Amino acid sequence: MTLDVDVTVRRDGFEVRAAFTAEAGETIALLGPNGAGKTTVVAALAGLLPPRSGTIRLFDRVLDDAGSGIHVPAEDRPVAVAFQDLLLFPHLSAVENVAFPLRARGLSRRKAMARADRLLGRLGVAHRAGAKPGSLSGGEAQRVALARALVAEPSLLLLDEPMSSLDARARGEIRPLVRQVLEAFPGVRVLVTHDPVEALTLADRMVILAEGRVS
Amino acid sequence: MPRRADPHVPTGRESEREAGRGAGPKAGPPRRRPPLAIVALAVAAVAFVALPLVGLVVNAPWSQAATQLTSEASLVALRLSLVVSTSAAALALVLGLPLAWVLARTTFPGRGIVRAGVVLPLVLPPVVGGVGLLAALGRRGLLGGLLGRLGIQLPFTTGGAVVAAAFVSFPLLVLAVEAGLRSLDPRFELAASTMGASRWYVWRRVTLPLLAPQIVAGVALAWARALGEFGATIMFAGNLRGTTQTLPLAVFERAQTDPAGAILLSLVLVALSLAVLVGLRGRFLSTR
Repeated sequence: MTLDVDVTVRRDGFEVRAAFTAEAGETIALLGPNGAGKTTVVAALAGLLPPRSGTIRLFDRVLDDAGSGIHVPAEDRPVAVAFQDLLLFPHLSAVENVAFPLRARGLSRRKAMARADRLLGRLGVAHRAGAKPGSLSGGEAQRVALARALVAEPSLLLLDEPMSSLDARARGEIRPLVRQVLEAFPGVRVLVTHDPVEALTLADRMVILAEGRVS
Repeated sequence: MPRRADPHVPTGRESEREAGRGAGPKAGPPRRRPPLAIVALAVAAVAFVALPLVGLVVNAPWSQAATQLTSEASLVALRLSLVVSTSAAALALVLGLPLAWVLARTTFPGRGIVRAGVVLPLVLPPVVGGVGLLAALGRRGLLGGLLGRLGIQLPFTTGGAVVAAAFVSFPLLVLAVEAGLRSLDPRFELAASTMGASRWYVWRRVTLPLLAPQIVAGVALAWARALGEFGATIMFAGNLRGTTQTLPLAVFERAQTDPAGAILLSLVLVALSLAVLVGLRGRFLSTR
């Protein structure tokens, strides 16, 4: 299996168990109502929350093994997240936001900005490259957040409720783009959503998360 | 939005607009005439603050202003004051920033005591701080021997004046920065770490920029407090013209022989303090 997850994660006294596998080139939807622990699972996959027990493996690399004390910290994982609340850095312009993961990994400013610019172009927001997140529309901000998740070419792409911050019109505009992004992404794709329709239309396979358990 | 609660808290403008829809142009519940006694006391309070300033302006010997203020003695004290308070603010920043981070981001036994100790210089009589600095860093103080062997002498030097001013002012910076760190949304830093950013990179490129307004406000407050420092300075560093005699000390000395000159020097301090206040009000301390 390319991604092999079998973990128990605890946050705020609430325990979530998640067990699923996924292949590269496949989109898995983690589907569950709000409060089912979807964000907790995202945090565990991203390396922000060490699991209480179990393992996470990605491309033959052990990212977490609670039993033997292995925990690869977030900054060393080939995992990228497009967060539910986007979390675009408010003090950086759109293109600087997208360049951030490259700059953080030591790429020169010139090269990072060039790659970020190209990616913004592919996602249709090149004209907003210099804008601060505060002045972007919901759809534009979502495109920038997607670009920031894609730019460093991770092995695992996590999209956490990519449509939830948008109104109905922007949603209709972004959905095909998310679909296109997912299809073009060569690694493992995990889409986290509470919306069964979204899961059905965007994912190849669904994993249900209910009452803190994935089955 | 960098602040945790912002998206949910309506801005002042929105709440004004909402209230405006209900009841006339003035917002809020229907207003009654405020009680006369309270208005009278409020006016008295304003007078209490304003009268000393008015006194300074009225009694200032304006005809001598140009010669007095450009006199060698005044300029020496002014220059020294700017050097000392700027150095003290810089020292407060170097010491205060890591401490604020530790207080805001870590837990350890006795943290409450540490925070109380850090705030103590704010409420302590400065002259007591000066005595304490002598007992710690004076020639016969706790660290006096060590400093002496390193060739560092603080009492009765400009360096001592900087240390005294930093001692009384750095709690302001710590409090401002700590409050800023606490109101920062921690998810920005977590998000940055998922983008491959090391802790140091996150601190430099995310935390510090988001914290910049609080740091600037803290430095400005510390600078203004250092500018007015008197008790700890005169106790620890003495009152040596050109070396430790900052503007407040010069005002004190001149008031005994030349009250008019003291008033002019005081007005210089008023102007500098007002400048800080106006600078802060516009950008950082607005009530919104």
